[in-house]
Amino acid sequence: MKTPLLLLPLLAVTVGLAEADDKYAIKAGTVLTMAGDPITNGVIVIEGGRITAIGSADEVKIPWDAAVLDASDLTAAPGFVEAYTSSGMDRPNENVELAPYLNIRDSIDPVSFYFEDSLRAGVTTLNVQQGAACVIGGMGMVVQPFGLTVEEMLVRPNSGLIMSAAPKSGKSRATQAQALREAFGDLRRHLEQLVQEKRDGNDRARREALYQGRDLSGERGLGRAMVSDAWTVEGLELVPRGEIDEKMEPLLDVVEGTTDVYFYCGSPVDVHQALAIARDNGFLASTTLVLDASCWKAADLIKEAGVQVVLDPALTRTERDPRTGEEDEVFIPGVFAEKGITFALSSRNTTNESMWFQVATCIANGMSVEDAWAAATTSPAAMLGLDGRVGSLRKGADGDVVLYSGDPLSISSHVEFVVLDGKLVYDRSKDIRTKHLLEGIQPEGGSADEASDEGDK
Amino acid sequence: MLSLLLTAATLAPIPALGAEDTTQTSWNIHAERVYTGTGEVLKNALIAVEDGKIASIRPGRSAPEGAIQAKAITAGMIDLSVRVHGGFRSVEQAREIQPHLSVEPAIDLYDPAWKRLAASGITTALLSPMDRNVIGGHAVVLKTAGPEELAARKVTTPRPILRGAIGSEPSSGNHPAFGTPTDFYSRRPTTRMGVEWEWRKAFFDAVNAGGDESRDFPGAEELRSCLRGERLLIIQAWATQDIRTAIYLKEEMAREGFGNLDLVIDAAAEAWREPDFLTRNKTTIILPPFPAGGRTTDGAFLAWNRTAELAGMGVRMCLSSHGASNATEKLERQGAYARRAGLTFDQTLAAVTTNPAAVLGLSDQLGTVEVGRDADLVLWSGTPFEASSRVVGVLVAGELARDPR
Amino acid sequence: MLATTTLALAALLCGGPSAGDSFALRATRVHVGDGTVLENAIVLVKDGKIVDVGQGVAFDKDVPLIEHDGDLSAGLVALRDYAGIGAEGADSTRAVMDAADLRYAFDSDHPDMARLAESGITTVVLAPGSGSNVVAGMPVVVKPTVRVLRAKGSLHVDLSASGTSFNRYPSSYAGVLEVLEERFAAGEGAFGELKAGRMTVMLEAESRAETSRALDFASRHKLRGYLVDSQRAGELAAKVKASGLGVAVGPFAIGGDRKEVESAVSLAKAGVPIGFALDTPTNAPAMLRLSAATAMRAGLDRDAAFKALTSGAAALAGVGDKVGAVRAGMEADLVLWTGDPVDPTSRAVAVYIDGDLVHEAPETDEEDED
Repeated sequence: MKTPLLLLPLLAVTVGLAEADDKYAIKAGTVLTMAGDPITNGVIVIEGGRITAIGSADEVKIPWDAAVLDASDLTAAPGFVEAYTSSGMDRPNENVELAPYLNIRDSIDPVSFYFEDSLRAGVTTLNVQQGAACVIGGMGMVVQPFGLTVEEMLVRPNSGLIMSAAPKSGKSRATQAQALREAFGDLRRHLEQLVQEKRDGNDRARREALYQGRDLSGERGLGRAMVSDAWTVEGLELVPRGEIDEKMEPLLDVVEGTTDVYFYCGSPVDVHQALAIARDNGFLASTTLVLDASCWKAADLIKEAGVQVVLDPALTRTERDPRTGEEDEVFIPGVFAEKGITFALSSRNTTNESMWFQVATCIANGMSVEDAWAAATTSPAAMLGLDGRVGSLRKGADGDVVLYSGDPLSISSHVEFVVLDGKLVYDRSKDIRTKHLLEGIQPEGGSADEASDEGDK
Repeated sequence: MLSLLLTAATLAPIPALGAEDTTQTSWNIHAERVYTGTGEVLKNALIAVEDGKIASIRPGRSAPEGAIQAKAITAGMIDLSVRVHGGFRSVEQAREIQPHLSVEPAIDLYDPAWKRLAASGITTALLSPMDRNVIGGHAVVLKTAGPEELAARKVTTPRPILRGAIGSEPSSGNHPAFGTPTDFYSRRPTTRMGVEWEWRKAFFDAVNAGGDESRDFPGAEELRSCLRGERLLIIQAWATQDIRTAIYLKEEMAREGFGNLDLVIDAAAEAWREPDFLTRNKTTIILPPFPAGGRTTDGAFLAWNRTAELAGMGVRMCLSSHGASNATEKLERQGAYARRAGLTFDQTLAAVTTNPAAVLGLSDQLGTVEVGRDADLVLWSGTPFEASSRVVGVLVAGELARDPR
Repeated sequence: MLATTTLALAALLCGGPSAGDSFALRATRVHVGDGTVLENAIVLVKDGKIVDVGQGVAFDKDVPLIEHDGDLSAGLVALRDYAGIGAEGADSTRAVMDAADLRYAFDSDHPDMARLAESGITTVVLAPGSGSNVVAGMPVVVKPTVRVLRAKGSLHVDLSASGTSFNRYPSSYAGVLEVLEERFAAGEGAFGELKAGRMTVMLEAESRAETSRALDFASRHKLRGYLVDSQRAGELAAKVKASGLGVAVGPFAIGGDRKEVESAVSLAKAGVPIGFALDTPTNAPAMLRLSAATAMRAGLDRDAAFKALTSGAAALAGVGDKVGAVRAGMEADLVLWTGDPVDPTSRAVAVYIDGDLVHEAPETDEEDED
């Protein structure tokens, strides 16, 4: 249960911090850019929410009217990018198995502790998707973990649909696969019916669209031939797009490759199923697999399909040989790195599964520092279509900067400040919940019992 | 002839490295840095291990051909709160006070958890009975790798170690008898108060019986030897009220003139709340794994950063994994969390090596990288207890329990 | 074959060979039990005992001779079984039931008994069921359908988890040992007999850790007897061998854990005496020879398997001087087989216990076998 008592004081602090300065400059002892060598004594200038200049203090001039965050003893780095999460909503799953028409914007809870914790962990961009307990779920969106409304948080709408090849508990894999295939079969039949009706001079669909008050003007009033790598319905150009059933249309966008898909796989066999369905319906190129830890066994299949993946927060997995009884520890990112598959790390914000810890764990297990960082910054940014905007600090990128007390991956470093779009949104020295957790200090006017925040960590 | 043989034996070269034989106990190991645990950091040191002991340590050497190599080496880690046992069968739940029993019959050396513990860098473990009664019995010190024979794995401590618990766990499951009692859960204690009463009664009864056979009970002698300081007493107490109860028990025994309990508090999550209780009695604590949300068992709250404060006050502390072997909970990670909570490197290293060795009374044998000590060594991929480094190799009494190659 | 049936049927109709009666059996192959196989040998039976075995055995011409075109061996021995006991073999009221005598749970008329005899199993050790007892009673050696062979010869002692209770003392391994050490120290009843070496143990231990502890316990008290339920004992073969205990291995279910079978083979190779547990009614009697065949497939040699089914098991059950071999002086528990007894495709066509024909297979119609 969330305790409003605890939440209110913090919001007051953080919102107070968000000064609406148009020009903002950060001086940092070291700047890790993910777009070239680290900069010593760096300066980052942010104007209108975007980085307009970045370089060493000798090269970059701070505008006279910019607000300056002097963090000369700190290390600046781009915020981490979470390529897939179903946290931060009041409920991650809708009780409908086939609901491509839902949109996550109606479900995101801006005051969820999850977003607060994301700031503490240095995550500044998150792709929030519906939970995977579905067949085909709703449309996700990319947000930043700060803002009082979903609109304020928005980075990119319509990031993609969620599908799941893993059955809900109590269902079989066969049922799940059948339901997935059936969804595309239904779409095809619906489109064929619309074409047939048009040819027959039957205007039922048009009357229904008008009755529902759908937009039939402009593009929406025009028909367009179906374009797909897999299958098409001949004569679809006869049907104005606005007349297609709203509940079906998102799937047509998937087949036409204009909507990305996040396909959840709970086991290696699911990977096979997901790839087959994506291939058969022409959206393999726009698919990202979201993998359970067990799915490393399907790495060859994934490599062959050429898709990108989001890994489970659990990076190691102990497997037991059923014959010898011997246990073997598998380091999962290592398997994907070795095969040359593009992957993004994911996290859970607790110390031992926070994004910086994930990156450090990759390095501990032999990955290069560059590759490990990329898996939490530039790779997920590219997956989300935000290459150059987030995940690296460069001219033109969003003004999202995280400042650490030292090397971001060192066990004793902490996130001291977070700047989003050129606004200071997190200051550790004023973070009462962290104080409470780490120092045992009760927030004034806060809950008398620390247990109240237990469920949120 | 005999002398000839002896010479031959001493001259015999260290067995060929790279051999597949895992029971080999002689090695050459080279590391860029050796954290000896005595405050020294040796650069580019070559450690010779012979017959399970550290035979020599020579800094400033380059790695000879065939030597095992690592970035860093520390002494093997010692976990004083390991729970690899038969679960409910590790403790006799039919009675509250069992100081004469031991966890030993419940030890399963074939449990795969041992390999996981050894691979995580724990080379010595104190195995305790489950805390499902008040005084559960004796804990046993074991090496985490070696033959599956107790005799070969047991480490003898100068003093036996008795284990008990305070808090809600020792009474959990018990209930008052209603109707006809059908099981042994129909018994005291059912509350913290009852647990505390059992502790005091046990010691009072043991002292009062005083060797009078008619009044003696099984375990009475073990309790008296605790009071004589001939036995170490480890009490599990998570919450501050339970830690206080343990300290009060010790102080009451002293006040009554019964004796001086040598007390260690395990799972002391809330030790930070009243540190003076620990300092005034020089009580050692074993910390439970650092919890993500602060909250631990028994409702106790562990405020991470207060750990450093305790260490600064001179409270001797040990870290433990409580037998956890998942990647993020194991002892090497607890060391990292302690660093995050503000402990210095030396304090952290001591909390998993020299401090627990001292608790066991085995400082001459374990806990440091010195000539003559057991060859219990942990090989790291980088700086120990950093998020970006990990345990890559482990030797337990010279046996390569995790091969870094 | 026809002659066999006719004669035997006649014998049955007359109430079988009565006391003092003699008969002779001639089989193509006689498996003596010490590894030797006699071709076309005769076994002479008198008063329920074997009086002579050999190729040139002479006997009076009024002694009926039964000719068998096939194999003859001693009846098989199952080292642990629950045939016909039902719920009578388990009493959980007390942890130590040292005076419970399984003899009183033996029901010779139970259909399970007849099924054992039909399968050529003529000696069975009936064991107490699981009642969370540290000591569940004294197993009894019986001849199915006929009589008790040996009672009060051994004591069941359980050092496995199943010996602990969830609701009374002892609930822990330490408690189990405490109870047993107390009883051994007192040395009363069966415990006195064990200490004096007049009784053996049926020592129950499951995991390797439990087995290791049980072996230590047995050595400490110089116990003789055999382990049961220890399906991985083979991985401690040297220690088992040093203890002097035997092991009741199996039964091996089809598709079961191969490690358990390999364990049995390791034990035999280390020279540990083994026999097979059977556990009817959970398993069909056929499981006894199937277990032996399974072990042979994993490397147990044929003679070792046969010994484990007969004389070896009989010795472990403490009745090696009475049954388990085709030798003069032994009780006439004999089985006529269609082929080698360890071959699971051969069938028992006639079974004798104490010289009495207790089972005869009906004439097989060739067409039925299709």
